[in-house]
Amino acid sequence: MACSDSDYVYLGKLVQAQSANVVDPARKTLFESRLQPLVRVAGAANLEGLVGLLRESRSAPLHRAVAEAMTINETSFFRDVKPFDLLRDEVLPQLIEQRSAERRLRIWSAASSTGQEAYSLAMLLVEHFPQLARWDVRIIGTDLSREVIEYARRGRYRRLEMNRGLPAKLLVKHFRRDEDEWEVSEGLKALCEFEVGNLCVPSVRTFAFDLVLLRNVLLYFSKPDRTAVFREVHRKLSSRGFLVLGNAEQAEDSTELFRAEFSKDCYFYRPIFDEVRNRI
Amino acid sequence: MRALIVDDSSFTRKYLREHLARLGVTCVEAQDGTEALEVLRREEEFDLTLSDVNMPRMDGLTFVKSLREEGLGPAMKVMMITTETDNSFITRALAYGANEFLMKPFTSQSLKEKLLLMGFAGTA
Repeated sequence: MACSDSDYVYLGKLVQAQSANVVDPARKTLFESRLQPLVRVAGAANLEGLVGLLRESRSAPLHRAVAEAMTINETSFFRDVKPFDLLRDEVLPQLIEQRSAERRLRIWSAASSTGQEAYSLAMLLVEHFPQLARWDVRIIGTDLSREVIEYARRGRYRRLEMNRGLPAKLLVKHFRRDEDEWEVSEGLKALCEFEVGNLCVPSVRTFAFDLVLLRNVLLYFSKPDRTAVFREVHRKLSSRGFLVLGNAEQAEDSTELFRAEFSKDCYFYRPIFDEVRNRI
Repeated sequence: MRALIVDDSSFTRKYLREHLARLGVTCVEAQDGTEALEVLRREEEFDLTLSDVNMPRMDGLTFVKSLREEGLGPAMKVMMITTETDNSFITRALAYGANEFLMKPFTSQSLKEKLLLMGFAGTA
């Protein structure tokens, strides 16, 4: 027996409740292909069986695993190129000037997937801002999926991933080949840390980020969830910080907490505050 | 935009030509480094050369070194497309004058991303 329409509606609601990711229940093939490995792991006979298990149990790990399996993990080194030009030419010089007294930078790669964005940022810093070698710099990648966070921590990439967006001169400088994989240098790993985190669940981190990259994530979220995520990002961003979204994303339709600016062919966002905060 | 494809495999040349055509790139083909040098010496300028490495008569490394030494298309970007993936090989290719590097096998997406990286924004 195949899943009923109501089963797919149930799966869609479950995924949205767990991760805010909106997946149209009509995309049955997507559900089937993404959840097939989980069907076997859960010991179900088929997708319908998995839905039965999900409906019966309140097993948080199984519900969470469904949401993780439906998450889109598309990423590449220096994805879209232009946002990294923006960071190199506009954003980072301003942040470095702002933070020159404390010599500290905190960058958040939100929904970091397998880590290419965080390591691209690390390469950008090492290549273009050598003075930061004496600073306290942390690039923190978070993602809903434990699996991709483990992958990012290992920092080992396959040929298909190395072919995507990574300049050859950075490949030879920052990666070591080990048979069919390439491993990120210890120097880059030292700048990056990765942890599991749900964008929709407020975290207890106390320090403010200077720069948040939240790219190609919110286009899969509902407007109320986008609004909630912007509120959380605003809370975590320093008063003179920067937010960069994906090329196809904008904040204006979901929040009034940020104002858009444009440079280097890219939009980016600055937080708006009604009152001065004492957290920078 | 014009590109020169250098590869002894007619299959690879066709694959690259068809992908680049979809991106609005006009292509000329050569089967090895020797033929490619002849094309560059007599043809008008190219924006980009995509070259294999292991080819008969003249390999890709000798080809890129020669074209740079002769000053053929000084503004032309060169991307090596090869199964040679050792860091030492890539370093040598860059030192000889290659600008980028794509490992075989590759996808159309990775080709587009490399072109974007090389400044061919309209192609991605």
